[in-house]
Amino acid sequence: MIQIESESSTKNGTRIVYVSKDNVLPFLKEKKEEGFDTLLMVSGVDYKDHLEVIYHLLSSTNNSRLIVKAKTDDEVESVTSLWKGANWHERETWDLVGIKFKNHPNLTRILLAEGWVGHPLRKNYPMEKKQFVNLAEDGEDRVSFENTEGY
Amino acid sequence: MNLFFFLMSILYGIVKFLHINFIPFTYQGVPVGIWIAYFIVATIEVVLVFAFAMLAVIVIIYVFRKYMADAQNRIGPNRVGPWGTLQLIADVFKLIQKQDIIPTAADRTAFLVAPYLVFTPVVLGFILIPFGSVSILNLMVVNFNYTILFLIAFMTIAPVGEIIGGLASHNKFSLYGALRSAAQDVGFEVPMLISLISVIVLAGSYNANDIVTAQRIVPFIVPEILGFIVFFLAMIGRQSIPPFDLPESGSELVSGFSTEYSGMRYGIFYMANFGFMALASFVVAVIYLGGWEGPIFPGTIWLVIKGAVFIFIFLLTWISLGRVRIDHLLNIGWKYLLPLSIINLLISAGIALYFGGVF
Amino acid sequence: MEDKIIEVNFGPQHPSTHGVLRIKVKLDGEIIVEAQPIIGYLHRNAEKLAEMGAYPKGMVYIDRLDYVAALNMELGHVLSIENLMDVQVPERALWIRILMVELNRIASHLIWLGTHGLDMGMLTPFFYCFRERERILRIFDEITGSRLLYNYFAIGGVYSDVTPKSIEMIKEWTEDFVDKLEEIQAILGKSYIYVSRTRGVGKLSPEDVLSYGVTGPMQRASGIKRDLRKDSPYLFYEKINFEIPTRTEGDVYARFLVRVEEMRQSARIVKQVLEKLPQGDFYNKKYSKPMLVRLKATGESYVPTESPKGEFGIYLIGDGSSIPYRVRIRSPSFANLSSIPTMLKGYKIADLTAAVSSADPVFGEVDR
Repeated sequence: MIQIESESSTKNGTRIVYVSKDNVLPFLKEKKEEGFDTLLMVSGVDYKDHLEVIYHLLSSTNNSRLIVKAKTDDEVESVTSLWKGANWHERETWDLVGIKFKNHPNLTRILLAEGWVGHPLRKNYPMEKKQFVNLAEDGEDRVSFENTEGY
Repeated sequence: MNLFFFLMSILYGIVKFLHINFIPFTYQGVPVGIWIAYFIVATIEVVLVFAFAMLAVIVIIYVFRKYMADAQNRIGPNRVGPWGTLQLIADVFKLIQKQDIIPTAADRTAFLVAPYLVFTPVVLGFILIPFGSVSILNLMVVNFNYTILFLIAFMTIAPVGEIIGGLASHNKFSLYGALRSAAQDVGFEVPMLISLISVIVLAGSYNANDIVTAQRIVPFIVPEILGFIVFFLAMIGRQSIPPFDLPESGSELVSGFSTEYSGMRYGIFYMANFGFMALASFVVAVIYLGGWEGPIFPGTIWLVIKGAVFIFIFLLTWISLGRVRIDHLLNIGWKYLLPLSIINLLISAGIALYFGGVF
Repeated sequence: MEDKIIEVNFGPQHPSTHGVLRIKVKLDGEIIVEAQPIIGYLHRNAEKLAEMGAYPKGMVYIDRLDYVAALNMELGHVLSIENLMDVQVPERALWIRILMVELNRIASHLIWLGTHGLDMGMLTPFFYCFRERERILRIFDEITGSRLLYNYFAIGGVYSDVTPKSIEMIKEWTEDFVDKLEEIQAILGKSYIYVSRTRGVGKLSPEDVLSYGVTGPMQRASGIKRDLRKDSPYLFYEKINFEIPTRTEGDVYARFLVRVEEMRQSARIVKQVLEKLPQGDFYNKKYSKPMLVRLKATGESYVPTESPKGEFGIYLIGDGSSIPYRVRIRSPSFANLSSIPTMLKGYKIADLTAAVSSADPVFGEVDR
């Protein structure tokens, strides 16, 4: 049994549990064996002083939900070994929030172009700075700050 | 006697009657005046046939658009000309105005030649179709003993142009279109030729006109219903219209072999497609429905009516059916059509042996 | 063997990618060795945009997620906000929401059916589907004032009432929609070519479905009977009789049948809603329009709803101000699309279009 740091709930009564960031993978593995067979999404929140990674779990057999949260500085264990669908969700979280996932098979940006500077969902992301994406000769995207070099 | 000699003899008669002997030279023992007449007649005939082919294309495209629109709850072309009949002309002008784009990496010569390689055989095919018979005059541009073989040869060349265009475009989608075109052609060609052989066995002649006259009493569709089915499906396959439109396959390979073609070059492919449809339906009508043979009406009208029936069936399959997958297509070609056509060949050989000269 | 493999880029500009999906496919002849979807060409970061304005202002961006089922998207957002703020909604507004959402589900499935037909090389069902969809859009136009992006669901109700004229229109529509649907289904489902191309293609096992987090019709086609309208009823779905169609094959044909049957069930729901629609207010008078932007909230809420593509919900974190601290969109197409490598491996190029379109991706929602 992995220790739960604290507990709360959403407005409509879904249980939220906090675990320490080292316990994320073992805790989720335990929950998966308990019957939470679907990972709905992985998301991250920037609380200015720390980051939080959030896992929404769903048990399709008895229709119960669970939200698992973990405070982290920037790195957490990947859960792709438990759910194949976690692959894209973790890539997205890395892309937009900037949480690194250890042992992820292919941790690259998924929505933004490779080479993008910064993570947009961070609260300190500079909104006024524009980045331009262009298609390089090899067919991959290229990012620059010059507006003459992209669109 | 065919149209060529008819016009030739009229011109020759005019020349003789007026005592025109303005160039007193001969070439290969024939007066040069006759040679000139020969070329004039040849030009007139080619123009006539080309005009007929283009007219058929225009009519079919218009009918196709209106028919498809009607089936799909649309109005179809209705702006250019009365009832939108001139829409194709407007389209051609639009296509001509377009920039002629040739990919830099393409094989330039082959890329330029390919559309004409598709279009020319289709027009040439019309030369060999017997359009009717007025007393002793055969409405047929060229008449010799092996016309039906040449007709099929022209229909075989046309898809080669598609393959060349696809390979020359230097595009992976075009490449896949060309490969599919090649696989499809091989798959359908063999059963098509075998069912044609059984027609030749029954008619006892390679001449398209003889095949038509052989069906005066019973059209070949009656003894050779299997062969007709095989030949008809093969014709749909050769045109690459749905359900066998794998070389183009709009939703999978973008536009298949014609992906890189734009402007009038694409327009030529498009028109060749419909020209081929006209040619194919006339050929099926000639081989299996007795061509221009028929009571009351003149032969040409009968041929056009019979051809129109097949054109409508082609269009109906186009509108209503989806696309088959490549492995299903090859299964159809090799596993079903080929055995069917061989059975049909045996049946018609038996009929020819038993009944002898009836057909 | 290695040099026989060709790498082809399907998309982002390709007729059958339903938008801007790009699939890097490694092909051995006609057979797909490996398929790798690449997304992000329509990315606008709706989450960030929704975090920059007041709660009701996010609706504009949420509308543009799944733009063919915009009302379903709005419903997820509005339910989440109301849950976060404990807003009471009058009954009539809730019934109107069911009505609109089910109509929009049918519109979305009709678009899917038409484009799926196009992908299979059939042009005709496309027009039939759009004819039927057009009638639904006219009803929406009558009720909400717009045809595609409505911005209709407000916090505490809806923005405009359902008029008697629109009820007449809906009644007229419900009378013959099922017959028309029968016709459209027959064009595809009774065609030997279509059935032989879709049976056993793009298979997903129930384990894969759970592992990828696939929801919605795709999940139900793989034999997992889950529908949030039944499992965790929101609005008044527990008062309505309808069935959840399920199939066990998990292939493209099963998804086709499930979606068509869902349309029938939705039409059934619409009929029942018309009978049960109560009189009364269509919005909560306490939440008048000008004050909506000043609403403040704390806490977290996530209300799952059944959108046409699967489970859709918006996870909101409020920090006590009038601007949401975090808006996280759970988009069903994103998860459904991530199963494409499994669906395609070992099949042929022709199956690529069939399998991709059976996932029904809408790129506003995948890329957000």
